[in-house]
Amino acid sequence: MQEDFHYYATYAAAYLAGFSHRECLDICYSDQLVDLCSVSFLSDIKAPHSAATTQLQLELMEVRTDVAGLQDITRIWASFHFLPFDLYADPGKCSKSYADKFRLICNTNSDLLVDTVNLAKGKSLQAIGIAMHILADTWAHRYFAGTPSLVINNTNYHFYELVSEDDTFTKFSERKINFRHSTGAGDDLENSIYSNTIFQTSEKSIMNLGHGRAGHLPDYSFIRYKYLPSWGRYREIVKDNPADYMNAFCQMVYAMKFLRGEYEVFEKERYDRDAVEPYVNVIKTILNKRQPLACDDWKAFGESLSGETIEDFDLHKYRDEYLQAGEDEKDDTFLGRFVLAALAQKSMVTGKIYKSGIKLAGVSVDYGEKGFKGIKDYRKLVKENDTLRARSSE
Amino acid sequence: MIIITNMNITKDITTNKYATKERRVSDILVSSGTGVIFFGLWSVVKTILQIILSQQSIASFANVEDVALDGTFDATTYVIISAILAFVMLGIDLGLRLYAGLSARADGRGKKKSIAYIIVAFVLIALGVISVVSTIISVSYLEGTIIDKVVTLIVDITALLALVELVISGIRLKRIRRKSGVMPTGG
Repeated sequence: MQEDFHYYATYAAAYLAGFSHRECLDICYSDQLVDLCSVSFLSDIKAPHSAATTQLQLELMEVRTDVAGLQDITRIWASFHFLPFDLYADPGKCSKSYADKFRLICNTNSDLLVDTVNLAKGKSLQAIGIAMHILADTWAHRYFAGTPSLVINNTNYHFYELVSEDDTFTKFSERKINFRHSTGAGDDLENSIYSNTIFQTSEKSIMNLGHGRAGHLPDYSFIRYKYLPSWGRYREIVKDNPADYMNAFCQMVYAMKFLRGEYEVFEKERYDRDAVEPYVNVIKTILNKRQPLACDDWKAFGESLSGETIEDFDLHKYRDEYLQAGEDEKDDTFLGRFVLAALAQKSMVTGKIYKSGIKLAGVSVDYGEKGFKGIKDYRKLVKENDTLRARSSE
Repeated sequence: MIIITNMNITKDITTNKYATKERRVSDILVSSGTGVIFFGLWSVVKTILQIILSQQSIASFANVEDVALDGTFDATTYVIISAILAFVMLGIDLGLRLYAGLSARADGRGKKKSIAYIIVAFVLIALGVISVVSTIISVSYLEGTIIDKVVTLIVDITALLALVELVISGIRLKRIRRKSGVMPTGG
């Protein structure tokens, strides 16, 4: 998903879930920051690199694709953008190598999603924002895996857009989608000409990471399309983004109500459609509008809900606060709380992947079980857990 | 076929239980058609390379060095005619393979094709079997360089397998389309 959904739509969902305007801003800022918190950004603010939640294009161009490099890539993308659906899925007769990658395929309403939302319970607004980013991406990025893999993430010439023949969006005609490799040219929405990553025969090429082979299509809210995923064994997938994005929005409202304490338990397959019902036509109009970015529309919607102005996203908004804070105070700054939440999320997902027998995200240790083990960046989590335990016992 | 969506459009999309199978077999047909084309081109390239690189004479290539001349033609004319005939045969072989391969690809892509290309592939298989058998015989009699013969054998068998795959896929595709009632587009 893009800034329009991760920032402005999340603001609107948070407001409908009952958060105040300021809390909504913190949540949606953290949500959008997940797409920008790269090693470059963390280096700039002198924060732990292990908290990286994304890799920018320029970073991906230089990233190593040896074992260690691939594990680092998988740790980031599987934890924050392509949450695995079933780490114990049975892909049928195949090699372990293939099975491991198959099990990383992202889809909605997974056990890991429940773990992600539960991890944010009782934590900071930044943790909520990160959880909402991950939740939303499970809808947009479903059927792709957060690890470079040709056999899982590749697509072919069988790629068709389902174009509605009228405004009712009930009858559709097929239009062949043509891909080109020209990032400078941009996507031609009217003629179904889109950019995607270049086909590379190398299994672990960075071009085969996530939904690169499908270009930007999963991130466009208006598009419906059908294609043959590499893992599908010639079965056709129909992707209905307007419906998926609507579900994502309703599920975010429900999840944030749970995180606010309105529900005891977060359940899969639950969507707060009642809260969204008064606005469903407005949202459907935004989602179905054929445009590359719907920021203006979502912003207008969010502002109409709260009556407040939603400031535009500024990556460097909290930079000085973090840089100027003392070592002991950094964890209480906005970015400090974001870093902690990111570390916790990455640690949780990587641990689950490792425990399932999949080594693609590297080795994971229980950092606080018997004295501290692991990468020193994660020592912060031990401190945070101790602090939380002390607070709850008080 | 899996259709995974949350909206009404699933009801409007035709679900054809043969669709998955048809896509798989079509893909195989396109791949085997491509393979047949490449092996056909390779035969021509190999022959030209043999003549150039091994400095083999046209006469020896056309197997006319030891032929007794009966006086109808002079030696040069005989060599030229035989060489032309040999290259014509090569051209026919290439032409048949191109026809079979290109038709298989078109059929796999959904363009309507008759079974003619399958019959041509059958003929090529028959010729291929003869070629393989003769190569095996020449190997077993230790005629010529063994390595060359073994490599030739492997390539010939692979080309044969591509043709067999083409025939099997072509027939399966036609059966699937007949059962599903889906007709390919004209082309």
